[in-house]
Amino acid sequence: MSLSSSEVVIMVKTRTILLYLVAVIVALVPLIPLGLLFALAFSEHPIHIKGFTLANFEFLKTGVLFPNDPRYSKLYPNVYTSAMNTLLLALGNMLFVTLISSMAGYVISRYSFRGRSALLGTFLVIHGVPASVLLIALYYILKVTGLLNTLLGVVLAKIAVDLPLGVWVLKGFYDGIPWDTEIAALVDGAGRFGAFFRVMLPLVLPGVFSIALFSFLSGWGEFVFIYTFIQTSTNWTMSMLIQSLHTSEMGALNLALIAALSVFYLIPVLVLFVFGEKYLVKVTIGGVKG
Amino acid sequence: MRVRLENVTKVFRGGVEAVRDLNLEVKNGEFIVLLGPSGCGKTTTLLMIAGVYKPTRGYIYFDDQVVNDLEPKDRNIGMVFQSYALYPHMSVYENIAFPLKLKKLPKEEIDRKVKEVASMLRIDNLLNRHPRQLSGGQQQRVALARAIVKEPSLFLMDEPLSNLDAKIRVEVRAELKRLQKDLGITTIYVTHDQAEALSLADRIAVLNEGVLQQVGTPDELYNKPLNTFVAGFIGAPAANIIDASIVEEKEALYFEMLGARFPAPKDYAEVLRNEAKVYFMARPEDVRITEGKGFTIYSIEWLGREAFAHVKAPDGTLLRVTLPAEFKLTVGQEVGVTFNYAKTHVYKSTGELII
Amino acid sequence: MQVSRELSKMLIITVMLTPAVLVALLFLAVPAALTILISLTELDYRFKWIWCSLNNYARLLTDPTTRLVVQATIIYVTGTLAFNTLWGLCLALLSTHVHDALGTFMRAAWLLPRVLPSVLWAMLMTWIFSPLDTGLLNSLIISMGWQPVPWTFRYYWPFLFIVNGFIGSSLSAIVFSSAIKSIPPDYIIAAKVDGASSFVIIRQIILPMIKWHIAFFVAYNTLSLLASFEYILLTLNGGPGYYTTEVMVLRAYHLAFGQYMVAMDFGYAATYVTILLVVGLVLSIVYWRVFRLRRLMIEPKLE
Repeated sequence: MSLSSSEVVIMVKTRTILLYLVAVIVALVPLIPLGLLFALAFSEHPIHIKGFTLANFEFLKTGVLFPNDPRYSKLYPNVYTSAMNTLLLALGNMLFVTLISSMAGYVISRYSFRGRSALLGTFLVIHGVPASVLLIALYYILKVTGLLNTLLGVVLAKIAVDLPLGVWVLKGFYDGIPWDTEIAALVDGAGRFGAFFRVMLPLVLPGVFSIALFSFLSGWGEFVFIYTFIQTSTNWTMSMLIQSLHTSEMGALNLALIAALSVFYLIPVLVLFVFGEKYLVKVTIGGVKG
Repeated sequence: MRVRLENVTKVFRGGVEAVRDLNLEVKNGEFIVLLGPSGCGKTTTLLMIAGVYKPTRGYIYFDDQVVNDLEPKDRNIGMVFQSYALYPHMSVYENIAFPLKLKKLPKEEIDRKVKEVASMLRIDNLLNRHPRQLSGGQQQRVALARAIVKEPSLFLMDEPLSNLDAKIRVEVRAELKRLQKDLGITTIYVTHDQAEALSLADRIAVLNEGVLQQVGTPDELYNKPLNTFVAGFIGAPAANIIDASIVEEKEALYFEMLGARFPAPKDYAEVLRNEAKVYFMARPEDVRITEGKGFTIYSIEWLGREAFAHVKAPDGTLLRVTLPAEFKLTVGQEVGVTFNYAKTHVYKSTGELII
Repeated sequence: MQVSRELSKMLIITVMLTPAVLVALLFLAVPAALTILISLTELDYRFKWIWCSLNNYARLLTDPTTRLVVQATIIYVTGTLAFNTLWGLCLALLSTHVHDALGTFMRAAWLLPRVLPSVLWAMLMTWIFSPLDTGLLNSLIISMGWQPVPWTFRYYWPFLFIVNGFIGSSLSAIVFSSAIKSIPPDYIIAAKVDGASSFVIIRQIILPMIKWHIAFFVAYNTLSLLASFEYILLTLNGGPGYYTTEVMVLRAYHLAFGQYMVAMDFGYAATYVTILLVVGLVLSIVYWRVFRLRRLMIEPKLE
């Protein structure tokens, strides 16, 4: 039984509508947990989502959690202290990873020197295996250098871990600039440093933004290094604060407060994500291609 | 400025020999073209003159001064690339001003020079645009402007016309030649297009696989190619280079080729008596169709001003022949063939010119 | 003059490359070597280097928990890899067959869990799938009159696959969809003209043409998953029960940094990690050969 052309058209149209319906639903799935988080943060009930209130955000005024409870208020650090630590970690990671990989990526991309293949290969291999395998040794090194329990130690370890990806992505961007453009700059009268600053670097700016964004968010969300290397609660970042609240009795008693803290912690991530999503995609593709 | 290359050789990492023992003298104000197929070493030579590559052996002289170790920025050269290599993040004005800014000239002087060059090349209305907003031809003028504005002693051009539409290319060619004559700057130009070389150059240097084949004026290269490579490379349609044997019979010399026998003229006979296998070279316009047998017209292309035919020889070889526009031949017709021996050449089996 | 040109090139390379090399050396290469050394000692909370050669490895072979740990690792890696690859493929196919704006939005939405701080994602997932009555799903189920489900007590592997899969499949989705988009449209048009349906096109044209990308992702992801443990740590912490989801890296972590008296056993913990390092290194070298990654290293043209 063959279909008339109008029946075929209707069939195709319904199939397309179905396709789009499925696509929209699928696209919304990962956003649901996020929406639930926000709902819980504004919930009147400490455990279930009910109603709307701003009461859970009381901590924003002074940063002190549990101001009325003598025991709890001493257990947990000031929210703003943790937030500051988080910011320092994120900024430190961003600045150094971006700076170092902009330079290293350029040299590896444009210069031939002995050991270049070996160096590149090493970065590739390191990039494939995550940082978790190095935790034990890093702990030892930090303890021996006196950097254990310091934010500086964590920053240094974080930079090291994010650097291979940064070098690979930026190298890819440098590779994409035609040789002629750089030769033209040299012939026009720039030395190699001049060619780098005036021509090459401006042309890889998208790559620089991508790595800056990536390393900032990477530092902002870092947990394992803090959990492992930091012992004093005043050195905690937000991630550690939230996790320790969650795993304590508070996790069962007052989830809404934790949700509110999470929203506070999350806002910069969401803002940066909305504005920089396409840069993050560049990093993802660049990272896997390498 | 004069440029001299002395025994210049370039070997790359991995043993690739791109240029071998190149000796070349470029006169002041001359427009010399480095011509050859891809991979012949012409761009490598250009980049060595620019200072981007360092010769593995040999010396490069600018006006009697050895410049092997001089950085590109100190060589006072202007360079134009096939891809134009304009800085995408700068406006046209900034692109042209870039070399002057690097020289740290005062702002008013930079402004004056940029505007001067822009009007010379008729791009003064494009100064505020960015390269991606320009057409190919416009980008090329900007690239030229950038090279000219620093008043260099030497122009280096790497196939600057290859990316242009065929129609514009012919016009720009003429303009480029005029510009060079007006400015009087020594120019070294690289291309693989022999027609371009013939029309632009004061002299041409033909390169193949890193080795210089011949240097001379277009006329010399066309009418007296020194080896079979140059003979086959210069001129379009390509010259016929035919395998031939020298045969002596009763004190007279004959060419045995194409499955037929051709008597050799007196001046050839004197020089060729001791040769056995040679190459006979005849350009399409030096092949004459006569009444006769053995040869067949294989195909005819009518081109308006003249006609171009393939003629099949008794041994199956196809000869390239140009015919006057008012020819009276048909495809399949049997003809005879002879040559204008005043213009033909004979080469050794190793390729060098005998006569 | 000759010396100064070579010298200036060396200077630039040194200045611009040294920071990266230094950091990589100190905080990546040295720890790697150190880990291997530590595995040959009885390093513990006393921080004294007592060499015991391969004793720790012998202990590994006789320890009854080793089998559980290796088993957990294998299940974790294969399951999460399958989820990442297959679901990522579905996402890529779906997002490239609809309007570009919706497709981009879809991939961006799925990128979000990956960008979130890990503690938040873990917290959300444990709250949603909590086996207690207070969990989100369970409270919904209860309000509809049914029995609550002990999600993470009974279905812990599917739970972990979902938690990690949402993170990993965004990566594969992005890679695969960019691969799909780079297929020359002429192939698809020719197939449509020949009368092929969308499913046939996907099966016969699209999938074979992104074979290399899929293989590469599988290889790359396997390597990452072998040493991944953060979300397991944050959600189930190796449980529920006795080492049911304790992958090798997590075991090493607990041995070294756990809360109990048996912790700080760095020597023994390092053995697990050393094995992972060796496996990772071997796999990387294999990938280097198989994927002919040499061509990513085009020699530079300048000198």
